[in-house]
Amino acid sequence: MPDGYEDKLIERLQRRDEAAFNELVRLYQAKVFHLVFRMLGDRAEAEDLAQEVFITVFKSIDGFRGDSKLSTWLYRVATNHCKNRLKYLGRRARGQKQAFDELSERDAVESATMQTSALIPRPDEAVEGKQIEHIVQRALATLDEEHRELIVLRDLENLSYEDIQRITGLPEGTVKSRLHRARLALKAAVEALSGEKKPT
Amino acid sequence: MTRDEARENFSAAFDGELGDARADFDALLREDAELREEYEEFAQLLRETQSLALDEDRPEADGAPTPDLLAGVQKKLRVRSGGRFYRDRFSEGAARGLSVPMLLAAVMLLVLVGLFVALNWTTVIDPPSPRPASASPGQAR
Repeated sequence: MPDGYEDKLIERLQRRDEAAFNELVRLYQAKVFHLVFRMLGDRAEAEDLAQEVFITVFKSIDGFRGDSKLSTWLYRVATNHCKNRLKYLGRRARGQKQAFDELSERDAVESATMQTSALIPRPDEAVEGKQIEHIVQRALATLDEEHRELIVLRDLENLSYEDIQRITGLPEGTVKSRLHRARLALKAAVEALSGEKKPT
Repeated sequence: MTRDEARENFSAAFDGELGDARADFDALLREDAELREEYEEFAQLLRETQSLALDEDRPEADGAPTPDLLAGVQKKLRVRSGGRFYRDRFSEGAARGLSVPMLLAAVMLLVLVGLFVALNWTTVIDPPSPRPASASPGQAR
């Protein structure tokens, strides 16, 4: 990105220049979608939410003071959206489960597992090289949102501790200790899942 | 450094953030095969996880490329702003290179230029002038 490009882009965005906004979306859509997809684990939800992230950016670009990189601010907007959506999905899943519990036991068990199993290809559908990826993605989905957020930002988005502090608003020590706990939780989840089909 | 302290430092060691404590950590791992194996498993999982990071040469996790979000974003903005933003199809296509309206305008322009040239071409051709009557021998004299 050429020097001064980001400043000019922000200036144009704050003038509500539609062409500038088109540029912004094209520039960051892959990163935002990837982050959101890893957080939610569902492609359709991720596509919808990534669009919402850009709409929030369009509406609130005036509030961007430029004390961090535009991409860092975008990540912050995206992670906040993800947390809200995960809470909403959790509430909805609990509501669905309650309704399913009124059905027969067999139907209820099948329905409760439907949501996650629909997202993950069965082992016979997945090629060998993809198994680890699917297991890690499933394991991520079992982590609580604070742990998932840190794993995604650090290990999947490869962000520095400083950027993570700016995005999450957490102090350095908390980021490091929480990330360690998150990684241990991920390891435990992967081991639990790969107990059925451990990749070699 | 004790074994428990070393375990607490697995993440920091993996991220290269141990600083001065690194030498103690490595020494303990050399002495303790069980702890070393534990750390290797931990590091291996993180390496596998990090291999899932976004790579421009690699498709998305589920094998499909990143979707183009722009059209959806523009539509939502148009609806939610009551048509204030992205109110016409020209603005939607502003950054997409040659849009359909632009191509249509170019074709229309070419047609008009063609018509103009064709009309001018026909007007420059004079109709054949009538053949002058041959002079009578008497007049010639």
